[in-house]
Amino acid sequence: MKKRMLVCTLLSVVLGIGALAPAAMAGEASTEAASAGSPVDTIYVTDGSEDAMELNTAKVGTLAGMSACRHLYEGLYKLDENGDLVLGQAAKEEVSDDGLTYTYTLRDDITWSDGKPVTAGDFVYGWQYLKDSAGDYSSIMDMVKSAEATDDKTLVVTLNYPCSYLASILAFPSSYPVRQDIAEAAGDAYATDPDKAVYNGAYELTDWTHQQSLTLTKRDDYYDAGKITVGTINWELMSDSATMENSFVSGDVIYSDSYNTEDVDSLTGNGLHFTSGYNTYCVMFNLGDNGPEVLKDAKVRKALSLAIDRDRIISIRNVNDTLASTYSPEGLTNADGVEFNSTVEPYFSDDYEANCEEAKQLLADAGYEDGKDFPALRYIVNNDTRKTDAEAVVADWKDVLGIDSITVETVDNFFAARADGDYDLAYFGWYMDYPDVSNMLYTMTTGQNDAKYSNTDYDDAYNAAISEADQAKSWESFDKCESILAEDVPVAPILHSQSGYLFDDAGYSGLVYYCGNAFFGYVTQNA
Amino acid sequence: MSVRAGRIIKRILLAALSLFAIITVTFFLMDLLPGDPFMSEKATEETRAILIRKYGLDKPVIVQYGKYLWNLLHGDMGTSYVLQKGRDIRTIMTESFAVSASLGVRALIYSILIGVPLGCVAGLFKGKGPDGLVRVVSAVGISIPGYVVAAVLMLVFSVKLKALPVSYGRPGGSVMPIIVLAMYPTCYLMRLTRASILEVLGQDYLKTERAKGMSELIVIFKHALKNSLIPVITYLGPLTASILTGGFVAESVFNVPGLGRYFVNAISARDYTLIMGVTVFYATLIITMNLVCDILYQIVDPRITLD
Repeated sequence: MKKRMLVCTLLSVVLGIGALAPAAMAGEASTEAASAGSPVDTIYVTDGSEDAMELNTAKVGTLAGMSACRHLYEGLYKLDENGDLVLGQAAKEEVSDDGLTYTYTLRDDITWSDGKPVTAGDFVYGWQYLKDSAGDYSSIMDMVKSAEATDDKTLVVTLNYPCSYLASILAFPSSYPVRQDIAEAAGDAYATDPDKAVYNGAYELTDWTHQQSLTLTKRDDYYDAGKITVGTINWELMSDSATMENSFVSGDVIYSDSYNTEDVDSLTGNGLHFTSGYNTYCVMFNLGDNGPEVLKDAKVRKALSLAIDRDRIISIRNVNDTLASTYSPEGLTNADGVEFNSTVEPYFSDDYEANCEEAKQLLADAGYEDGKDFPALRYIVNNDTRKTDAEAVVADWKDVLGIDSITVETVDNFFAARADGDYDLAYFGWYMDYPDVSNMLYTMTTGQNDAKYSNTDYDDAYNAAISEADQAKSWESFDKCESILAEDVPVAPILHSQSGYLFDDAGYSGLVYYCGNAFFGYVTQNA
Repeated sequence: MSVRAGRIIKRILLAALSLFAIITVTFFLMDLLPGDPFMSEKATEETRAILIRKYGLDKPVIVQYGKYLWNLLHGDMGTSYVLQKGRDIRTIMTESFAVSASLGVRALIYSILIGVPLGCVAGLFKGKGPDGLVRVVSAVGISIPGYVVAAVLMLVFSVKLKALPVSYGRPGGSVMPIIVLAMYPTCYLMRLTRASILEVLGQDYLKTERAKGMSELIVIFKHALKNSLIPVITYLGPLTASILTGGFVAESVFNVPGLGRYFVNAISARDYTLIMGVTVFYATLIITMNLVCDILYQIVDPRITLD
């Protein structure tokens, strides 16, 4: 620290920078002064860039934005210090026998950061505001038929179908309450600066230096303030993964949600953590009107899927992925701890040689023996890492099936190109928003996927699953969805990627990490 | 009205016309870019369509252009669609330009204070030790790309020595961005000043001054230096505009909340209003700086006219 101070001072004088900011230095000093396992006055973290930092809960669609929103606002449910879902702004939940009506009684001691009480009407307004805002998650509460504030503290929610994952949704930022007077006064600028929103979470936003940092300050009037151990969170906004990694390695920040994947080996044991990414990384086939005829044949799609040497791709990537033999990722468990994956028939055997033989036969049956006359196809991706992965997949297709007419291309504005069907094959990866099977399988229902895949049997099975209150029966229907995908192959699952992040666990504990969202309020400093 | 005032007014009108042309070309080029600002992994077609309608992007491009010009004439540059969603473009420009300019002014001052005197020294000692040293330093400084300088500085001072913070927002955080911003112009100014002073030193009028018995100091400082500054002033105009608006590399790597990052990021994100905001701002600055340079020429050398 002394060395840094000396160099800073010298260079500042030389370059005319002026006085060093005393407040920031005081923050650093008090962090160091904290005792073992103790609360922390100030922490520095980096999670996302400015464009990811959307703090309007109705519009937020990025992991970093959602992480910040989880600090500033709170729903009927929240994450506790163990990462479990517990009641948040609600004191009590009552469910009708048919599982269609939920009555929530709000806590008496909940307030907004301007001192006004949080009311049931704020939830009703927030949910309507969500629908009207055209955000990425505007339809996430479509299971809610109606929501009524019978008085300031009572919220009656009627559902279209029994929803086993309702608690996950009610802890999700899109379901948080919104103050009508504040949102209407700010208009499109709502939540774009600290004074353009009020907060009902553990923290309030006290500064937002755009493109640089957020300052989140603990609210002493938050009902559960006693459990919140971090006073101020300085949340730096960075876009360059090398800068983020260097900030972590140099000790400037204690958490970074990004790092250079080529540095995995040096970071392992030095703060790099992997956790279930609730993700499946696939090759998507364009089955729409713009898609090539050759891919309309399920035999061809299945052959392409079987010929991928998934273990090799995983070893090339070297970021702790696991092999995907189903569309749904691992980690989705029921109350007894049973993995949903274990109930699903894998799409292919674990004997790669046998899979290759089957793939060759399927391709020959489709009329392209040894890849002969296979048309030229364009496989689009959105960055260089995925281009490397895609090229490895294409190499398998050449080696195993003799197909040498597929080219990989990194395209600008990738998501628009894929949504518009301007591709033959494309990268597709879905990061789940909450750990429930429905969130994954929803992405293959009609109208919800860029493969333009549509199968009424699949849709029926999906709708049956989400309408079923009994989880065992619900999973039976989800199993059927998986079997249909195994036959139709609108996507070829390759691997389940892990969420990787850097956290200084030598110095700190208590980070809550949930589906790519980080919550820092329970962090304490180690001995 | 004097002839000079008339010429200045003519130049200002031409500058306004140039700005109009730049806005028009940029607007229509922007329309040719594939995609739109509202695409994301999780956005549905429905929400994308609602946003496109909301911001009038479903209208013919000529209608959008007319509306943009009308709003611009009334001082309304719109709000950002992507990078700072919902925030006023003027506010974004003002905030980020203040940061870029603060760094840029310092980088510019160091560039001039170091580059011009060292260039003079090199020119006056042509072929000797100081000249060789300046030429090597300037060649190296010009050749190394900014991102390499930034990465090396960060590796040495932040990661290894832990002496300076990576991010601009921390105490001492402006040191490395200033060095990266100042590196190229400093070295370029060295070379430019050296070449310019060598050219002037060979001029006949300086021989005449010497023949008249003037001291070497007066010849150099009163006559040679003044005239050798014209190419330097020519370079300083666009340099000032460019350095004040920040640099993409320095700002991205050191997390500086300046204007420079928007030159690339606004286009990648298809943040139309921000692309136009940056274009209008930068074009105005460049045109103004060129105009100021033209006027400065005339002061330095009255034989040059604004025509």
